[in-house]
Amino acid sequence: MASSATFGQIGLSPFTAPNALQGFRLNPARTNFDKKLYVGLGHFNTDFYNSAGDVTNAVSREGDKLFLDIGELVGDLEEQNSLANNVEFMSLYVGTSVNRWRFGLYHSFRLQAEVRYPRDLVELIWNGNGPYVGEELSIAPGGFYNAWNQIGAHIAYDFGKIQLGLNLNRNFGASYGETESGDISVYTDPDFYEITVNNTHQVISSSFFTYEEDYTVDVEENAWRQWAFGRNGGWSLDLGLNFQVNEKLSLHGFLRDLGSITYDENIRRYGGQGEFIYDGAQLEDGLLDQGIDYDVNLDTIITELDYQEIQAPSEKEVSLHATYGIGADYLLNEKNRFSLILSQYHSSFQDRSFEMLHLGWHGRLLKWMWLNANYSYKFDRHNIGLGLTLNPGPFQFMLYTDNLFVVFPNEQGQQTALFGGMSFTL
Amino acid sequence: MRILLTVALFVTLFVFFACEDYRDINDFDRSDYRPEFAVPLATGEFEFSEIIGQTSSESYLEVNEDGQVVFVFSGDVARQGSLDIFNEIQLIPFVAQDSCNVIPIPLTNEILLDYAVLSGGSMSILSRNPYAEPIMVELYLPELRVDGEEYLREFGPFAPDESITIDQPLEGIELILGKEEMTICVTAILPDGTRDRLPSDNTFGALRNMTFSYIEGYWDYEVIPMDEDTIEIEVFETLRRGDMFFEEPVVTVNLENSFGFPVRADIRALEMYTITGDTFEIESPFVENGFDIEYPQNNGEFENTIFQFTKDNSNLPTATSIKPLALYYDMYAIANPDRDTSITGFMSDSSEIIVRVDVRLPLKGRASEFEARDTVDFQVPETDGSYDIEDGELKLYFENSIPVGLTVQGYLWDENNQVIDSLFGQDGITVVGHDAATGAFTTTDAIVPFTQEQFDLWESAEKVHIVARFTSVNYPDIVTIRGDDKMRFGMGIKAELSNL
Repeated sequence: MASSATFGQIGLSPFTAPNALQGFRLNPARTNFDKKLYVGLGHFNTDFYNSAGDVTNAVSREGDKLFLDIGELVGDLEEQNSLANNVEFMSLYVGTSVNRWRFGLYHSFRLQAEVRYPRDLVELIWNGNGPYVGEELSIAPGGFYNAWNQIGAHIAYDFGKIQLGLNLNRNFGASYGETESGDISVYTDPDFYEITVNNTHQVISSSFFTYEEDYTVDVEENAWRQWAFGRNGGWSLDLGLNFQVNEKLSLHGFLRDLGSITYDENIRRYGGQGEFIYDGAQLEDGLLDQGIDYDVNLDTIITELDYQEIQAPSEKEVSLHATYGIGADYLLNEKNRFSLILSQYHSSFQDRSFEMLHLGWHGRLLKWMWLNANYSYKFDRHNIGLGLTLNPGPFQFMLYTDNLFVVFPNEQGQQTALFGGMSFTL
Repeated sequence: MRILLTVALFVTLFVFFACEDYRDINDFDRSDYRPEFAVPLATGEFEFSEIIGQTSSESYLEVNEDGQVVFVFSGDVARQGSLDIFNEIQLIPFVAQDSCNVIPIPLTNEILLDYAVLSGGSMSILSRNPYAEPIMVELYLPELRVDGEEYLREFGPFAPDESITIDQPLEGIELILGKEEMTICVTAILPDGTRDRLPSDNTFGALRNMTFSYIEGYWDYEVIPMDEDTIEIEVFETLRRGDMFFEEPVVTVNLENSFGFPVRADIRALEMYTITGDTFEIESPFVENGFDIEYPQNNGEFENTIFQFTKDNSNLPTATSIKPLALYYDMYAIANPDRDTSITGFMSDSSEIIVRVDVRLPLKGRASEFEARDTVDFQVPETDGSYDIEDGELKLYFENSIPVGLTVQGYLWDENNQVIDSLFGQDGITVVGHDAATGAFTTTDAIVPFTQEQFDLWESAEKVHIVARFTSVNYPDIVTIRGDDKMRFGMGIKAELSNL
């Protein structure tokens, strides 16, 4: 079989597809193997999340050129907004079953990344500080980036009505960066627009970027040696349980990405320099003799607001973003299946949790073709998606989305995802 | 059901292949991007105490013992030294008429010299040995002292018929005179000890180029020119209109004297030149009669004399109300003005009288529409052409604890010094003077709107001609400016930017 699927944030739909090989990555107990050998090649699973308004609403066309009207997006912003991207590229999976045991080995590249930006920042850029005289704006962006290499062993046992599964993963961090603490506040005094900037922002990096003076960021290239094994190590677990209530109904639960990576390579920490007040050119020393040198003062601002390298720890433990959930599958008849998943996604970045709900229907169009329609609720968003599963012979192809609003303009079109890969059985 | 599923299939395919390619987005739409920025342009704090003494040696500010700020305008420092008033004695010739000869000391000044220390000069004796045997020549000058002893020295031997030439320096030798003459004894000493005079027809002598490092005696009445100067009073030089009045102006004569005898300052002229071109004479008994200068009791010491012409001893208040531009004075010193011969004075070659005249204007008074002008370079922040500034406003803010308010306007000049616009609207901005009854300071806000066209004009300005009119609080009440009075001000700009 071969599969290709598109789905939403930490997409759940493809994990519910009939006979989906990749199901063990969500719930290691759900390996419905009935062949001797399963091989998966190039399964990629990526999702994007944008909490702001629909970008399509802000795009306008003039002739052959497209323009982005940021002003259209500003009104839809929340106090804090996110751009997130999760990627898992499972390069190889080999699995088999022996009696009631299921075994597998796999390798994946993983990425969990997010940029958070406050509405104040966008409004400051778009509207300027003029409308906010007398107000304090909090403009510090946040960011999290964790890319790692993962080698895992999958094992599951079928007790009959109950299946238990475990994925044991050895992780090797490639690069990591995160805004740890602090804020950047901007206050424009109403008296004569004196600007007070307080930069207590603090960021940390390991083999991700180095910060030079004058706002120069050098992103370190992820050379092969950074992806190589043996650096920035850590362990993680995926646990799963499946309970076959009867022929039509099964219940399951899962815990995914329980663990961490300890980064100890090239750790650098940078921090802002605290409060700086810009009140224009200083005239005490020659009010009427020297004129005003604006350039000197602008240079002063830039210098004062610059980041500086500060004491960094020798190592940093970074928790993976974990997912917990329970679900149910109901086989109405041979042509109709329904699935339900309730889960919570926990981001170690700023310690936030998001509830997710998935409700799906799988309809068998042909003997080798299934269609899927699904509803999901994620990150306070309601989404409707479609999916397609093809099973020509030993191959499986899947195509899934959790979100139709990406292509149908809607203010909630804020996330999309892609799943693809090939697998076959012998 | 099959139809429904087929439709769903096509919808699914549409989903995956109908997406717009946003990689073609060229740029964000700049047409609606018009942020409004509010930034400070300049700020400053003017505190009188911070600029005390920071202006120049001729004009500065100080805080007096009452905490009042005082404008001080100083004239040049003049020095009158002893070398200027007591010249060297170039030549005192004499002929040895006798063994001892009394010669007068021709002092050029009316001095009764009691004691002096010579700093230079020489004494010469020319003669010939008239004896048939060698002789020694003894010089004895009882009024001269060397190390406390009378001057007594022998020279020679001189062979028969040998020319006798004796040349002795006088530096460091003390001179003690009972009257203005001294005795010189020239004696020949023969080998057997016989003492005799040298023949008068070929024995001559001279004292040359006598200078003194110290003298004591009576210095008779003498008028010595001291100083003549004009002090510019810069506070009024930019005055165009209005009125300013200082309640307690003072002209101070500062004297340092190391001459050890009575001296009196003689003010020959004390006049003010006004902005109207008139000359106003300052009247005071001390101008007419002068005033005494303190003198030291010991050589090397200075005595300070500070004499002040105030409203109590002169007509100065009236004088300053006429807005002077400068003070002219001509001063002399009178030595021993009372001709008291009982006073034995002294002076050395380093004795001097140092004189400096100050005009002190304590900032206690009143002003009404006192107008001052100045022109300074001007430059608006450059936009580099990367954006345009739309209509906006200037915001000015003042915190003032000075009991003087002002109305100020800035006229922008182009490179040809032609007015192209006014900076603060039509009427300028008014900063309220501080009334102590209202709190620690008084704040003033001012918003000056401008148009895009105006700002474009400002970019071409080279200078700003500032016109400020000062009015004291509750005029005509008298106000006092103290050292800790200050004005803090800031100027900002708020405007939309376009074409970014």
